[in-house]
This record gives sequence, structure tokens and C-alpha cells, in this order.
Amino acid sequence: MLGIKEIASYVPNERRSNYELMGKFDVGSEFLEKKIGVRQRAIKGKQERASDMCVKAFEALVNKTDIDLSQIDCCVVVTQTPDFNIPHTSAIVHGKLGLKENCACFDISLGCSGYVYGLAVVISFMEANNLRHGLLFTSDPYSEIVDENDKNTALLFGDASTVTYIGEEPKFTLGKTLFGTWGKEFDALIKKEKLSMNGRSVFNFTVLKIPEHIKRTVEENNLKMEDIDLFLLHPGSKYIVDMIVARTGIDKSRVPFEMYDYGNTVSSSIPLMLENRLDKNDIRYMLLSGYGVGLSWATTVLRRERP
Amino acid sequence: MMVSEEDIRSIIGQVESLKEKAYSIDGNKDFASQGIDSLDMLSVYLMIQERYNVEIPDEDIPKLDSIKSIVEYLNSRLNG
Repeated sequence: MLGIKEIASYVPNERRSNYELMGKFDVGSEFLEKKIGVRQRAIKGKQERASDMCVKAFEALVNKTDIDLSQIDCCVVVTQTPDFNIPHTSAIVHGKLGLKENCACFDISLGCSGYVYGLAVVISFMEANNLRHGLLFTSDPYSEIVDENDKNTALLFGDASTVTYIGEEPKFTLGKTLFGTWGKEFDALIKKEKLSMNGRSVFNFTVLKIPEHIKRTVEENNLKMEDIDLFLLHPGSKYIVDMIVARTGIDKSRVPFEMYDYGNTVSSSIPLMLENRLDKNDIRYMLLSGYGVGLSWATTVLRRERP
Repeated sequence: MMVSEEDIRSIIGQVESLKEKAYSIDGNKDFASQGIDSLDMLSVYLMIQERYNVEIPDEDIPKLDSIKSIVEYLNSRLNG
């Protein structure tokens, strides 16, 4: 059975402080910390592109686990900020890593729901085609598209990338995954010249849809809410996570929130939280829920298979 | 159905971060000048929509900047 063997990440060292923008956007420190949940944002180098960030995440993976490049038969990148519109970024990553020819490569164009979708798509695809060693990347360098004068987005997003090694004898396997789309509000978060967000639409959608979706995903996996050790909810903002917690009745101690020092990293936010928990052996079940641009959402449950 | 200032204060009081402020804010003054931020107001507007089963379009939001203006708006929408 295929599942998650290891996760590694790359968060650029450079940070930009949100405190320095308090005057510009007329907000206080309490707003940054208790509502937005971002003190500083990770910013990539100017020349760095999504594929470069994938390579950096892969270098971190190599330092964590034995991995044979000649065995990789599937390479997928979740991104909506690709190096180019044509070709797909996964082909560029394939070239930079020197992967073998008979390796499937494709991109998945999704934002904050992208990691959960990506796990479901890649594991199903690999199982259906007898592939055994997959790399699922997330890389969304939003600093390329954020308007620095837009209060709705300039305080929120940071750059990061992750890679998840998918193969046999995994630490965690994937349960049933549920998906949803609200295409009528596709323009709630959209990039034309620059990124723009209707914060109210995104907020209403998240608060109205996600709590119920989380409960339904738990039920569909024949579990109870109390069986879930940790709920890894995409940190759209601190306020949104707090609202979901309040409406689901989940104990706050089971919902980590970790973007204070790097920002909302879109498709990378969930694997960044997951990375440090793969080896916590007291965790048996984790729920992952991603929601955002689209408007799109996806929720699943991970089950521990081995330490 | 007539909506009262008390009804709106009760809704505001259900927002976790506004619990203690709900009955001390001035109903005639705008929320922003009383330290209530835009994210808390998103919660208030959503709860009003749920409570009264009314859709508040984005273009009406700037008008709803005080308890008094919300009461007048709702009474106009619900009874108009």
C-alpha cells in the first residue's frame, strides 16, 4: 500500500516584518497576532522560481532519508505560480533533478486545497499504474504576485515549498478524501495583474462550508471526532482557523497553528505542519483540510501505519 | 419582524472577541472608531445573515458601520 514515507521543506531565510507595515495599513500588533496570525513573511530570492524552490525542498529530503533518484517514477508539482505557463513546472523539476525518462510528470493547478488533492491524485494515479516511488511537490511563491499595497493580501502570504515522498511501507496512509468546489465565486481570489482577494467571500465560504465538511470526512472514514489526534487545518488566517474551531467544537489543543514566522504558504501550509509530526508516534489519526482559491476545498484523514 | 438594537448587540456578543464589548459600544458611533476591526465585522455580518436569513451584498457593507445603521437596514430589508 502506498502512502507518505517522508516530507521535507524549504522556507527561504529572508523575512519581511509585518510590524513595519502597521502604520501603512492602519492595524495594530494585536490584529497581526490574533487575527491575521503572521508576524513576518518568508520571501524567496528575486531570481528563485517555483522549480528552484522544489529543488531546495528535495535537497532537504535527501538529507533526511535514503532516496534513489533512479527509482523515482512519478513527479508532480502543485502550483499556481509556475515558472512558466508552458511548460509544466514538474518537467523543469524533472530536468533539474536528473530524473529518469520513464517518469510521469504533471502539475496540479490548485491553491490552498492543493496538497490534499495532490495526495489523493498522486496515490491513486500511482496505484493504478503500478508506480512505486513518487515525489509530490508544493511550491507557491506568492511574493511574485502579491500587490504590496493591498492590505487584504500583503500581510498574509509567504513563500515556501515542500516535497512528500510517496511509496510503499509508508508512515501514514490516506483515508477517504472528500472534495468540494464553489465555482460561482471563482473570482473571490484571483490573479489578473496582481493577486486580489474578496476577504468577505473567502471568510463566509470557509466558515459556512468547512466545519461541516470536516465532520462529514471524519464520518466517511468511520471515525469519530474524538478519534482524530490532530486537525491540520490550512491557516488561511488565525481568525479563520479560530472560527472553524469554534464551529466544529474541536479542542484548540488539537489544532496547531504555525504560520506566525513565515506566513500563509498556500499549498505548502499543510505539509509544513505535517512534516514535524510524521515521527510523533502517539499520533494515530490526523485530519488534513485545505480550502481557498477556486473556491475549492478538500479534506482527508491520515492513518499511521508504522513509527 | 422588527429588529432591535438589543438583537444586534446579542449577535455581536456571540463573537468571541467582542463578548465583553457588545453592551458597552455606542450604538450610534461607527464600529471602527470603537476598536472593532474588519475581521470581527465579517463575523457579525455572517451571523446576521444566518439569523435573519437575508443575503447582504458586498456593496451594502460600507453602510452598515454602526448598530443603528444595521438595525435600520434590516428593518428596511425585512419589512420594506
